Amino acid sequence: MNWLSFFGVSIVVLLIILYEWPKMEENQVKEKRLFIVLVFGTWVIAGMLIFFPDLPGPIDLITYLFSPMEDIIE
Amino acid sequence: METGKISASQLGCMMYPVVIATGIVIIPSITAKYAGQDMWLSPILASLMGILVIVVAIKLHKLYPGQTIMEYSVSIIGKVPGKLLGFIYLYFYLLMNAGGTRIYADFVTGAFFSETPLFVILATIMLVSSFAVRGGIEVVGRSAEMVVPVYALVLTILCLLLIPDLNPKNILPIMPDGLMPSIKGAYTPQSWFAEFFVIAFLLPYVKDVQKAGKWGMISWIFVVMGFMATNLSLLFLFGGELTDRFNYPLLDAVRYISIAEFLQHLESLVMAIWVAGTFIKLAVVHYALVIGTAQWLNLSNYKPLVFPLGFLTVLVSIWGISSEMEAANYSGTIFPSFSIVMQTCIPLILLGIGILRKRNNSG
Repeated sequence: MNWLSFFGVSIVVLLIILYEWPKMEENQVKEKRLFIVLVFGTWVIAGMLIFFPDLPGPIDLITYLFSPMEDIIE
Repeated sequence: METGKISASQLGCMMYPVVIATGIVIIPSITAKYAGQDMWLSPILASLMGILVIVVAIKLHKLYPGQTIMEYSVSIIGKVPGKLLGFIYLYFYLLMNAGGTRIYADFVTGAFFSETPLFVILATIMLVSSFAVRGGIEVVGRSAEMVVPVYALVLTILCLLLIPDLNPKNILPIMPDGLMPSIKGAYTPQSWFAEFFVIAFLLPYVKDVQKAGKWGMISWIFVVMGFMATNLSLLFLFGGELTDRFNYPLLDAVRYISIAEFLQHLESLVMAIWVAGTFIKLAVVHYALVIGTAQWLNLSNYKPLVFPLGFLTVLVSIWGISSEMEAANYSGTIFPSFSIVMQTCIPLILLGIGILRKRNNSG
């Protein structure tokens, strides 16, 4: 099941690349680099989340920072 | 980078669903939890935050015309701190959009598609919004112009149809415990009103920018009226005690509507406007995120970023929030605190420093 989800995510990533890559112009080197970094970054994150769903994420950081406010409100 | 332009009225149309689309479904229940039968007062208190951020965003744009917050934060506090602040803003808008997507998906799966996996709902709405963003700001603006009047009309009709079932006595006693419960109840909605600060990313692309303030205020008035109408209807229908027990009180209220046993099951209408409104909301915030990222990195084209960032948004929305309970806690107290810092305090500080800088330069 996990590998199936990972396969699905990989297809989504592939579709994004196939859709976007031909549309980019030759001289947009910076854009191309960033695009590759972003796509592979999200692909890795998605893979990690499929196999380790309890990984601490960006929301946990905010929850940690602002949880003292909760006591003030309650 | 962005060649398209929108009109000030389109800006107003775009901002309306940003605040109200996710707000109207979960806010009444959170407000009722703290404010009880004073829940009608909380949106009024919270809306003051809306005026504040609109004024601040427009003043900042007057100081640095043609620039978004990503650009003028560098001009105001210098290159390195400005870029750092820019990154925190991107982080904030990523989380905000992920939160919005999650609220939408929880509602859709919870109320209608209980068997559908969450990520299907998340991915489909994000895909549609991403296509709109990829088309540019004009596409987002025009879709908003098309959807928002229908949205407001349907919402009004639903509230009017509820009138026969309403019991205005539920509002009594007014403020039995003083103002404090309504202020606490306003804490969550204030972050929704503060989302008006997204205009800081959109103002440079407004054709008739001198009218932007006026249209921001018109949008604000409609948002306040929308919140007031729903909160009052829910209060008169269920009372303050009961509203807080529903996850999605507006939906349950609309299920009540039955006129002559002919006009009923109108919850599909709630669903329809909900999907349309969320589409606009996600598109506008996603646009802000994408254009902000492109400016942060000095790119010449933002379009390649649209789909990867959309994918990232979907990931963040399931990352770290495993249950609906946790999601409610996050949008109820954690996100509003983050929002106060990011959308109210920091812009105010930026405005203060910006004014001082300009004054020193000219004098």
